Amino acid sequence: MRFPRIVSELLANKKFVTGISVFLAVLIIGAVGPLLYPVDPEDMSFPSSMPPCPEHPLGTDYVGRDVLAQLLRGILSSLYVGFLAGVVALAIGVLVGAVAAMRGGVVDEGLMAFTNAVLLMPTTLVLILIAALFKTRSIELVALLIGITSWPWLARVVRGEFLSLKERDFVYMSLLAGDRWLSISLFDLLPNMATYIAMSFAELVAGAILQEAGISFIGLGPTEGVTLGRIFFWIQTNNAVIRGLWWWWLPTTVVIVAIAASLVLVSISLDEVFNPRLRGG
Amino acid sequence: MPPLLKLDDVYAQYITRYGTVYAVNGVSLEIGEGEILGIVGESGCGKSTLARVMMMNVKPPLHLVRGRVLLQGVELNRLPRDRLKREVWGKQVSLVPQSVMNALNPTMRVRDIIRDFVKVHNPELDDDEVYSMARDRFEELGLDIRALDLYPFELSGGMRQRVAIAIATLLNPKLLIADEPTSALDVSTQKVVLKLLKRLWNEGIVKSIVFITHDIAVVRQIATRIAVMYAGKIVEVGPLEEVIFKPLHPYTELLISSILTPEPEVKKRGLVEIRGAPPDLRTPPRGCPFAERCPYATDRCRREEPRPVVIGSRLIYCHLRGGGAA
Amino acid sequence: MHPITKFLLRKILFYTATFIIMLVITFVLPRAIPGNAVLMQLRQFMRTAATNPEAIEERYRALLSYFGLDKPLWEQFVDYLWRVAHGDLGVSITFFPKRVSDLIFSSLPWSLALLVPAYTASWFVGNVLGTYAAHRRNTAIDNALFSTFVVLSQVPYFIFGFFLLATFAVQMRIFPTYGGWDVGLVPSLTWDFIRSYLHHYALPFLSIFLTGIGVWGTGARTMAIYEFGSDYMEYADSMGVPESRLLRYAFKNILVPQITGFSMQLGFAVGGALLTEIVFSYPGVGWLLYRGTITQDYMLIQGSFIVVASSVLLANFITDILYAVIDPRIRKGYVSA
Repeated sequence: MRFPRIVSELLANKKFVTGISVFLAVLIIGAVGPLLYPVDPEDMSFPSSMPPCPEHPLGTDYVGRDVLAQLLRGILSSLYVGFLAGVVALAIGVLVGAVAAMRGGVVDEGLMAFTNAVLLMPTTLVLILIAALFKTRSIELVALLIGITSWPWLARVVRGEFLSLKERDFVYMSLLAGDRWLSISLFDLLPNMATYIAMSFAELVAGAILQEAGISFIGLGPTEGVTLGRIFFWIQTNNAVIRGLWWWWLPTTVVIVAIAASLVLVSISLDEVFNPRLRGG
Repeated sequence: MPPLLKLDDVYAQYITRYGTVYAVNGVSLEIGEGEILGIVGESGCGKSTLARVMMMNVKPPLHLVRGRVLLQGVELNRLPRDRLKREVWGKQVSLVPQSVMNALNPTMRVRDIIRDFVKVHNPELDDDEVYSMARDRFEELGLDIRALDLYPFELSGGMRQRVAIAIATLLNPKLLIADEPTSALDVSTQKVVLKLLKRLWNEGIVKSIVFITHDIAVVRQIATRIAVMYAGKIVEVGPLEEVIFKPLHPYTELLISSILTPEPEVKKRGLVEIRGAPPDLRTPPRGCPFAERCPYATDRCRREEPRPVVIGSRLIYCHLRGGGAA
Repeated sequence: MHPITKFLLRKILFYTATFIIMLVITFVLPRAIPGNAVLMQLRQFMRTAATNPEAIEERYRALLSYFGLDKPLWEQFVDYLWRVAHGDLGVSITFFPKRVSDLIFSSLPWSLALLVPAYTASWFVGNVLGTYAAHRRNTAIDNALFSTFVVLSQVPYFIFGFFLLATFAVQMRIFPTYGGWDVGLVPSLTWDFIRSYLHHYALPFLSIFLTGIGVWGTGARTMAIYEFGSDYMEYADSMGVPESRLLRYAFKNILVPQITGFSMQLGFAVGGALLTEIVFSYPGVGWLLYRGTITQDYMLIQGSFIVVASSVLLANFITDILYAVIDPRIRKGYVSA
């Protein structure tokens, strides 16, 4: 498919347009919001548990922080966590999958057994186990931990794709021409998987943002900065739901679900556009 | 005697939002009782679509845009899909699948596939009656009845194809449509399958067969009549021997010469001898579809669509044979 | 060797190896990371030592003896394996002097009672609805189901719990907001207790069940679209096999791969379910863990991990065997799985 065709096909796909619009909207809000609304999200000097009002468009929380300021800051840090973790997981997943497929034999067996073993581990608990060993945790550390626990399924997919691509003529030609498997992987195979990589990355980012929310919720997320997950931790420890502070928990949940669902929608739409069998009509 | 199946000026198209593919463009064809009609054409000429239209298995994005499909005088194109499924498919008109490797449900034993199929049309039978019916037919056709207890993946390719044919003809359909039934098989298995089809026909289990293939050498072994298809149209229809030994349409001529040439070198090249590629069915040409590649084409061929001309027992669509005389 | 024996041996080997790797990791982690949990605990004792020095001394000794840091590493490892093999997971700091294993095994049944039915039910219902959506592809029903699946699949269980809690417990007051049963009751097989338990059980169950449908529905829909487009389906259709039967074929054939999905996702679902317990203060392992993490109770965290991860491994082993029984291709040795 030529490039202009790809763009027009993507823009004709309702799922893609919905997904990318929602995601970009949240991204812009997260990027520009803190500049337009320069309230310190950790300033506790406001009245406690105030419903939305002109001074605090999303009210204040139980300890007197501005909820909108929290949310705006949380969006950007959570996207940052997602992006970092996504890059780490992508790198490990592609590497493991590619090496397993290209080397084959014992290397393949071993790597896949390891991948399956990691895949079976209850990820959230692994993260809790490791995170509990650190007294303080930066946003980057948490992202790194999420990244190194979320690559296995990607490795399996990459391996499968590589194995099927390997059978094709152009790879065979390269092998005959004496190219090394690494350069074949990088220059011949990966470009053929561009769609898969893009789809997986979107899903990894979404998954990482939710995973951060999960471990922060139990109290083992970043110990500094404001992420969506930390807001959930505060919501939980202050019993915000039971206290009826809807302006605190509702916008936060809506935003995190919007980010994750929009990214997954983009991934699904890419699959539809590039995978003729799933194409509608 | 009225024909068993009659296609009357049929147009069928795949309509998607990415464009329309004009797959079948004005085909009229009759299949008489007791004949084996071979439909020959290159891949992408619309012959598989024609097979779908013959049993009115037409669902979006495929649409029957114009024309009628008559089975013994009954207009199939007017019947709703669920009636076709209940009363026609598998019972009056049956299909031998194109890719038999995956045509049988991989998680069901052959006998259960048969049970589901037979019970649609004969709900009054119980499972044991269906099984004994299947056993009898398998024995009659010389197939190993142990195959009934196996899963499709446990059968060899040739066995799977023969089982599929046995299933398709279990209810003695009048018309059997076989879409490339041999193209995935090796030569000796091909022979076995052709023999089986012929036997079903000889014994009157099926009245007529439509045999669709790209391989004129295969169709020669089985057909009584032959229709040559090109770019969604029939270009020539007639008795097998006549068409093969005295083709009247330039396309038929080229198609046959490429196969009948004794030198293996030429034979191997096959259709390469015909210059150019078949037209893109998204934008079918205006005049004769073959004009672009025809060595004898005139301006008129490119401008006007040829009309059918009857020569003896044959029907030809070609200006050179007088197809332009209106 | 019979293919099924070979299959079983391979699986046993894989799960044993995974189990051992898991133990090695839990052994190495606290000893490898600088500024680790043990030291952190010690520092905390020093801080609180002023108020209750005796309690501190006790906990300090318990920790030291469990880790045995004064011994050589190999001896520590053998000790560790010996303890785990005997179910000794150490002593909780938060709930001192209770044994971690006792704490976990009294919470585990409640977690299982929540997770197993909710997860299994969502798997089943999600597959049914996903297959149905695929069958009615590109219709209004499919669009509605599909959008619901996508959104639900991206809502973590615990966040969905917020909605249920706010709507049905806080707003409408139909269900309780807190706990596993009414205060004053003791777990027993009495009508009063069971009624109270189910009343507290409903919302956490629904959190997992409803969001789980999204995950399974999305996957089942995509798989079933492939099934409906496959040659055997096309062929059965053209032989007159009715739609209802085709739907059943698709459902049956996606169940086979979805069983793998069931066990693969289990580890992920367990984490989500534990977090859901926290929202409803439901007395399972998640709630226990939550109270432990606040005080950085590493023994408790490690013990929970070992127990939960081992349960997940066991569940996977069982589903793998089930899978081989269900899929004739594996049973007969045509596919190695």
